[in-house]
Amino acid sequence: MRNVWIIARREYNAYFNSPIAYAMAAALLFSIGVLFAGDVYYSGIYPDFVPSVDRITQIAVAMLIFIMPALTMRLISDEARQGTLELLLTAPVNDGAVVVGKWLGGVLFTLTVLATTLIYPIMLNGMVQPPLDRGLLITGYLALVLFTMVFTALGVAISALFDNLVATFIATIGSFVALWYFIGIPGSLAGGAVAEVSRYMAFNRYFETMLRGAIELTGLVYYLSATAFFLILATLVLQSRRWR
Amino acid sequence: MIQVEGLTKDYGARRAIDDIKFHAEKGEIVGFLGPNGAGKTTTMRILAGYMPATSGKAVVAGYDVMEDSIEVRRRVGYLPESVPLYTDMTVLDYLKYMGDLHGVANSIERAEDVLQQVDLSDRAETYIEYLSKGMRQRVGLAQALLHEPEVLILDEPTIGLDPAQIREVRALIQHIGKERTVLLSTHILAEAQTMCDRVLIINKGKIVAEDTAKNLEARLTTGGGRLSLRVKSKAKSLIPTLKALKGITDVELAQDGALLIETKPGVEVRPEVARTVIAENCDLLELRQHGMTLEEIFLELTAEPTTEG
Repeated sequence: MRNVWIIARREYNAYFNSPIAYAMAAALLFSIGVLFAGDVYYSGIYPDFVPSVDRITQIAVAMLIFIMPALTMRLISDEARQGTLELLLTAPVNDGAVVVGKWLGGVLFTLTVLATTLIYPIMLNGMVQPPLDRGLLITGYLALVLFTMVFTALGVAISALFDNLVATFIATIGSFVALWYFIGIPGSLAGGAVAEVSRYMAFNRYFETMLRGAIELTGLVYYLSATAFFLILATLVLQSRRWR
Repeated sequence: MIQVEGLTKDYGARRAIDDIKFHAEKGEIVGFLGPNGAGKTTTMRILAGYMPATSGKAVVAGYDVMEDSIEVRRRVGYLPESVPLYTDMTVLDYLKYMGDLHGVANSIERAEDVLQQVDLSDRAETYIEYLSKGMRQRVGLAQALLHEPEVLILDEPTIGLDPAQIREVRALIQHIGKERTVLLSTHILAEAQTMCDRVLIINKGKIVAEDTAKNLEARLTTGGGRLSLRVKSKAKSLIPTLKALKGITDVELAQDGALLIETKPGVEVRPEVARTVIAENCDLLELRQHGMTLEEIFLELTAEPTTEG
């Protein structure tokens, strides 16, 4: 556990030294900022306009799908490319701790960036009457936290697979898009067992429920077990590197 | 301290190391000498706990590298050949991080100590990306020393250093080697001779010779020598005269016009060769003793029966 924290701290701090991290924060804050400006503008023109919180979380998630791969790609790929992975794998740390440490560092950084976006709903809250739905705000951001946990875990697993950053980046975006947008499609097209499984597997289904203010136990269990699954997968991929 | 038996590693169909056996004791500096691709790095990576062997057994500091990898890693200081470092960190932050991972109690104080040992205290706050190759090498060495390991595994520790730095690093390793076990690799014969108590010569994945540096030197100097001679003109006409000299076994004209002279083991023929060239009225431009290349050393050593050291 101690090693997890040491590695997580190093990863977290390393993001603040990397231009990609700032670019990501800027992109996220800018896109949500545009939405915020629009809300402020409309509430000025139409006194009874009520801005919705879930629009902020919706756009945040759409941005994260394309931005997070740039954050997670370096976690293991970059160490492999620079050779520092050899140092990490010859330190008295088990492979699982390396993976979880990397994941935790990535999650904490993304959450830090997400936390800064809270400034918009807080400001908006002071401007509109009636104020924003606080419950929706909390479940919306909780959904974002869960999303970050699952997709960072997947990102680490893909990052453990390649030495090349571009390959990692493209593979990560591809898997994110597939998991988020496409996995539920069979469920909405056909019937039967496949459709049932596909509906259950759809990542965005539980997310949208949470944006509407409801927390489903199935959703929580699904996100947490998916995170654990991807972390185990990442550990196995990292272990397999020793045999290559 | 290090006990290796029957160690074999395959990369797919290629056998990188083949049934290697050796040992190293406390207070001993053992050198791995061999050309690139001989299997030095593979052996060291296995001993450092980076990857498993295909078969065989290796015990480091009392623990099996395959079964108790973490315990081995706690007791080994490892410097990989490429000296990988986190270039986005300062020297001190990097050493503190590595110290923390190795469970060093006062990692900052300890980092400062080792920086003093490798003479880099004034660069503690410098970002690693701004350090020269020699300084990076020393940071890598500092990292390997941080947790006061019982066994040090150093893959080409002096590669890329300038002569003054090489001297410093060699002195440092010799100092460290007094109380610990050091296994280092090199492809420079002179380095193995000056630093190591014992030398293992490895070629194509096999240990072809194992001996003390002193014995090795003796065995090499009793072998025949080779001179190259360059004269202004009439080189070809010198061949029969030179061949007739005592101690010379063969003379041939190289493509670049120099004469290559093979001599009998332990016989100094240079003064006689010089006198002959002058007597024959040729203008002497160059007379040089050739060092043995690694390939020649292997041929030389493998031709004789190996003695276990």
